[in-house]
Amino acid sequence: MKITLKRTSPNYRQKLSTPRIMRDLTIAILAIVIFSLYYFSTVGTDYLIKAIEIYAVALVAAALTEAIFFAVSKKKNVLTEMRYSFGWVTALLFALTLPIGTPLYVVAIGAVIAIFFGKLIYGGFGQNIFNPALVGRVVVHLSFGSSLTSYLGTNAPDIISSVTPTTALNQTNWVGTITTDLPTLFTGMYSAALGETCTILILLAGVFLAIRKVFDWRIPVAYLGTVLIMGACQGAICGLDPIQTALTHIAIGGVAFGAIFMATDPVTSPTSPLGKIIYGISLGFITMLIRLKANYPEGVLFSILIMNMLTPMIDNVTLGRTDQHQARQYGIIIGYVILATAVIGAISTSLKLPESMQEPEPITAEIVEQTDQSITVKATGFSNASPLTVQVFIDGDAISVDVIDYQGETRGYGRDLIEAGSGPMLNEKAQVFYDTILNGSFTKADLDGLDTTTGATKTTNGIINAIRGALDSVQ
Amino acid sequence: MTILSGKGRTKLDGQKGLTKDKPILSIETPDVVYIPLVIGTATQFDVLVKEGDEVVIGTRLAVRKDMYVPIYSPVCGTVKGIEKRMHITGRPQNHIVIENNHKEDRVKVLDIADPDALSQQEIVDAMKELGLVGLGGSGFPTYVKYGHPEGIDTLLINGVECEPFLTSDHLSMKRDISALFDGTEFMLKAAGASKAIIAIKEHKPDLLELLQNEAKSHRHIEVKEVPDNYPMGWERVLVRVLMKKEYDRLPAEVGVIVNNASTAIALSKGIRLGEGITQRVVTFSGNGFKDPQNVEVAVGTPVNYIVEKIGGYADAPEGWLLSGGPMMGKSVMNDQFVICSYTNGITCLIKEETRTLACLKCGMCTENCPSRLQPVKIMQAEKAANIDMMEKLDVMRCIECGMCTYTCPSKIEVTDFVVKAKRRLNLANIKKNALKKK
Repeated sequence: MKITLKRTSPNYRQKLSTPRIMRDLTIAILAIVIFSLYYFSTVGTDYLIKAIEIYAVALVAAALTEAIFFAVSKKKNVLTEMRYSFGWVTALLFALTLPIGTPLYVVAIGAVIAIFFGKLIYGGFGQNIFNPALVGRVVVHLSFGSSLTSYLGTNAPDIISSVTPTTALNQTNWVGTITTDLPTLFTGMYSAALGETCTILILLAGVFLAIRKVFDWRIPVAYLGTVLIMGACQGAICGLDPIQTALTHIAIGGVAFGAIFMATDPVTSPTSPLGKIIYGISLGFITMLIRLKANYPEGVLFSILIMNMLTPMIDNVTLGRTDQHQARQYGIIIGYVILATAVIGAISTSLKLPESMQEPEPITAEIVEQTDQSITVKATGFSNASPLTVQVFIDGDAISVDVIDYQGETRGYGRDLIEAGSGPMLNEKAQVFYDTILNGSFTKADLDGLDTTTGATKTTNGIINAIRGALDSVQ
Repeated sequence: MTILSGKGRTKLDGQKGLTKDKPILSIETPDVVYIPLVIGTATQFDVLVKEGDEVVIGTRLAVRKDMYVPIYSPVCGTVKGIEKRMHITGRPQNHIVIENNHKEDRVKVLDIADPDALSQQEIVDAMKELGLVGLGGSGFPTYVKYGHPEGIDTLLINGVECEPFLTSDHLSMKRDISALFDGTEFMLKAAGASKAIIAIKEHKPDLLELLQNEAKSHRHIEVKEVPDNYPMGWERVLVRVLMKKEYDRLPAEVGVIVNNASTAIALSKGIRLGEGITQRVVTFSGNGFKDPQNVEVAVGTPVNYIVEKIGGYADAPEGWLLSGGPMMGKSVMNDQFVICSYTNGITCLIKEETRTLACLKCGMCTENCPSRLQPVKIMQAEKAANIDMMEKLDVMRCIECGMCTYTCPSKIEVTDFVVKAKRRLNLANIKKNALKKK
């Protein structure tokens, strides 16, 4: 054996290699792809076929763009260049951000833009500044936004709502409730973009990828952690359940997908641990900011692109050894989270339901009809949106009532009170109320001093208000 | 691992099974030995013999000029002169040539009547006179570490041997266990420390049992296991993991002195038997050798002589010969160089092509750097020849352990870039100082 000189050391390498990293990433992406195909197969065969078409068009368009580019750039071996350019990852990620209704020509245009303007012109794999899939997505969004529907055809079928949960929640200014419940948001059986729905699967894929060292856990943990904290803060300030709100925020709008598959792209994120944490926190902050204040459901994609722009700057300010000035580094992280959460909290105080959805003001007593025999009064019982309608008959000193509309009252409480005077949540005063007021006639004196804490107090008070309103009107 | 830094160490494929269960092969001295007039980077020596002088085992041949380190003859024979020969540093260096007459005449390097009555200073003087250097590969004169032993309370005996393939310390410890403990006791006294910890890697039940048994009769010495990681054998990582302390430049800042296990064994043999460092155990391993094993050879034995004795190279067209292990060992262009007192392993690897891809800025090098540097940024600074950035990145802290290149998924020679950056920064600093002096 001839002994030769090797000028560099060491002469040992670990097994983990970039092709293996990209292979594991492809496997995780394929899991999401397969789930999307499964979901759309439950909606209908035309949906399943469209989904397959979208993936196919994206892959073919990307491959053609790369092949032509490498051939024109006179590379020695086009196929090897393509193999180490990992274009299919960009193509699939781009496809996964599109909703099912995207026309195929839009998919093709977007894939070409993603590969060419997002990656190749910078010098190929490892040199791009922006996440290539998101470059394609944002151009498609701005140019063809109206054709990006979450259903096929002109009208949404019954099993798909015409707006995504994100849009629906956005329409309530983030303080209302939506029809899709939290477990469904996590299991992903609804239509938004192709890949972003099944939060559980995405998070599991994230754990798999972190263990396989495909990406650094710091970015998704910082991003999702910040969104959870800010979501809880927004929920608490807006009078909603903080935990429910926090979980809703990470389950909708592609936050989980963006955190695991887009933000973690090592090429476009900082290299130092502190840089990665700042990057993740900033992503959470900007996402929440865009969501809550900019009236724009797609906060994730813009926040990642903005932070991609700032990655070189973050890298520049996090020079030095990673164990220097540790107190200062921790201080920056904690201070940043507190400051950002405070800003989100301040914004949350200004969030109110839009006029159209707001609960009407409660009515004390509103006369709607007056005849010789009776006066019909509307008064709010339990529900502001659906007040009681009480018909009051006054015959000299004798008064009797008939509650003709009580849809807003709850079974077990006010409804039982009106119908029978007793119920599982009512106490003995309810029976007294029922016997005195609702069954038979009574006098004005009976009204005074009547204990209304029956277990359905709002209903009781509503009825009393209606009676008093009627009495006041005859005087 | 914290959220700010990675773990800074990782498990490698050690492949120690190739040599650790084979007995040490004692190889007879060759007909000619070449004693290098180099220790580490020091090449200035006072040579005390001339052509034609008769020497025996233990005759003093030369003394290093800047720090007093005497070199002794490992064989009996005639001095033939001084020759330039390829050295492990990768360049031809001066060697004293001795023609071996294969006799066993010897003279004691140290003659100590009552070793157990030696005082602290006398032990340090013995280290100096013995020419004791760090036998774990550093070649640093041991007596210098004990120069100012104020505030030292712990002595760490480094039996970790974290380089892949190397098993010379492991087998030396097993064979000379009482010498190991004896040397540790001398070092304890020299340091004025209150306790000593012998550190070995975990998953070595045979060695652990031997050591623990022997430790029963030594009140101030305990045996501790450390995780099977690289570079666990580096002082900084060992002190970090065993004692949970961080220091800036020297372990003495936190009251610790670290010495290699083979150094302790050599100290004991030197004081009790008067033996100089004339022979040592070296691991010859790697897929480039037909029959990897440990050998005991005289200092100054050429490597090609040893390779022939152990069965030669493997059947492959080309290979690299490294002085040391695969991580920090440096490649030498031929096998003419000799074993010196601090060579603990020779690794031969069959040449492999690796395909280098683009840097994906994953930050794995930063995660695994035991010095807590950011190799990827240093590489960017070196490519841009940006001196300011290199200073901010504290490049001089790099010990060239090779972790960054090892973990790089794109198979980039990151360590090489850092070495180049160090050189560039060094040159720039020298220029700056020269300008200041004017």
